[in-house]
Amino acid sequence: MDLLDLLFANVTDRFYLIPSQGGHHPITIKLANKLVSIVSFNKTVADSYLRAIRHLEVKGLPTVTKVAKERPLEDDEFDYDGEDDIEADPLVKETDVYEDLLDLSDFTILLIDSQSTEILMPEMDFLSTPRDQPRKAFENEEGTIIATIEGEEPALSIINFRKRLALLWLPTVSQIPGYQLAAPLRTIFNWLLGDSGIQLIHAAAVGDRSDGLLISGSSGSGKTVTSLACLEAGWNFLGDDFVAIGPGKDKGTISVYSLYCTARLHRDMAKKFDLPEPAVTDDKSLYFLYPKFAEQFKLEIPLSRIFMPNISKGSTSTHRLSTADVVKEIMIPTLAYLPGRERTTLKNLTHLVSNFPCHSVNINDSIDTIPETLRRLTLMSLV
Amino acid sequence: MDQKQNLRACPEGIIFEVIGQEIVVISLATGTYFSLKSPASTIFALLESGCHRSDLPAKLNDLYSAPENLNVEQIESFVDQLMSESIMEYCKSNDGKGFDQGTIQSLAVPPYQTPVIDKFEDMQDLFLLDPVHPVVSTESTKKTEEHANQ
Repeated sequence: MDLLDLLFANVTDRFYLIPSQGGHHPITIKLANKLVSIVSFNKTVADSYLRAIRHLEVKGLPTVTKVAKERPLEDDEFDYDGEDDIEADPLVKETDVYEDLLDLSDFTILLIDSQSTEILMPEMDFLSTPRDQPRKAFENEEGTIIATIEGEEPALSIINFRKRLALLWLPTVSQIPGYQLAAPLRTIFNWLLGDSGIQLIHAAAVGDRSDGLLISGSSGSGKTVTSLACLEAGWNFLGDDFVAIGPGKDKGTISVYSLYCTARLHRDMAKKFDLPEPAVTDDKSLYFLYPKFAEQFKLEIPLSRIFMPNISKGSTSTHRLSTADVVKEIMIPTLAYLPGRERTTLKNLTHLVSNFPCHSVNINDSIDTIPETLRRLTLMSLV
Repeated sequence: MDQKQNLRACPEGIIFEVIGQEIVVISLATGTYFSLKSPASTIFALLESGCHRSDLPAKLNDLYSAPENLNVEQIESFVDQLMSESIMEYCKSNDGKGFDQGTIQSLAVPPYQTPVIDKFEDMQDLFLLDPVHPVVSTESTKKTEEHANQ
């Protein structure tokens, strides 16, 4: 057994210690082509942390009735590191809600926080990387478990493909940064979708009738402004920062899948749009676009074009991106934000850009003109 | 130079793919990315497929139809550069599964030129960033905190 197998066993055992009186709060979402159940143990945590994926919620599934069952705890159950660092409560019941949910869905994710459950995270120093090195994900020998940590007070993301179970363990829920609330669980989503050829990508996406447009570019390039301009013009909206791409319904097609119903942008820029009140303001303000724009959310649309906007005062022009630019604007940001399974990520992104040429578009800075410019370019034959 | 061992892409932290007629190599350790065009891409593909570095001139001579400007020293220098950039390393065995023959031939786009590595370091900061952003408590997170503390 290697360290990741032990870590997974350790975190699931700690999960059994969570007092059952807090209840469990499962939701089931349609994540691209998978049904995923997410269980949290604090309603307020569920309401705030999972708000960005509420538009993906699938309602009307059978209700889970069996929540907990008695299970005698083994004497050595928590002694993976040779230290008795957790005292087993004789009244603790094994919560097997996730096992029930596995019967209903393709994957289950447990959302746990140390603050409300008062259960400490396990020791996971071996997952740390020095500050001057990129964040890394670790995989066990069999490739069945992946884990990574992120943040100053590290949150743990761990997935076990064999058990179809993942956990996100947050140290605290009182100060979740806006970028996490805007795109929660993205690392786990990327891992669990990756095997079926569906890839998270750092890009916005909108839909004009049956044309899905991927709006790529590194942070600050204008993805959010472009996608919000299209939203205000009545287009479909799929996401402003992270979406998924993968095989579509028809053979040989590629679709874009919505993941998050959020938009993050500077407040001054946000004044140009009719947005709801921001939920969080840190370096940017976070806006939840659902349910206000519920009718314009589309969960899947066939991909037609990839554009990289450059909002400027000049006139509209377009040119095809070089391979180096594609790597810089699409591949590197996606790889940087989504550690783990990098070879699969690069392969999936290569498949995408090999099938869809990417064009840089200089767009006049008048927001009203953006949708019409993109519509015109979509209809044109670009070289 | 090790005459016995083969070269291969460094297994730790190096990923690569063929995009069109280029090979893109990304270092996950540094965020540096490299573009290899013909004949650099062909040399990389040959090495990754189990070709010994001493056999490169002959292979390139075949693939590029005996180019007059093929220079053995330039090839050696290029391979040394692949190693100094930690893109490739010596290995005891290379199973030769890197690229199929058809891909290698499609990468060998004439005319033959001096092999070069295009190196890009402009995205290193993003790659090294652990996205820790400023944090401000909000109504929703305050409520969460209150609830959690109950």
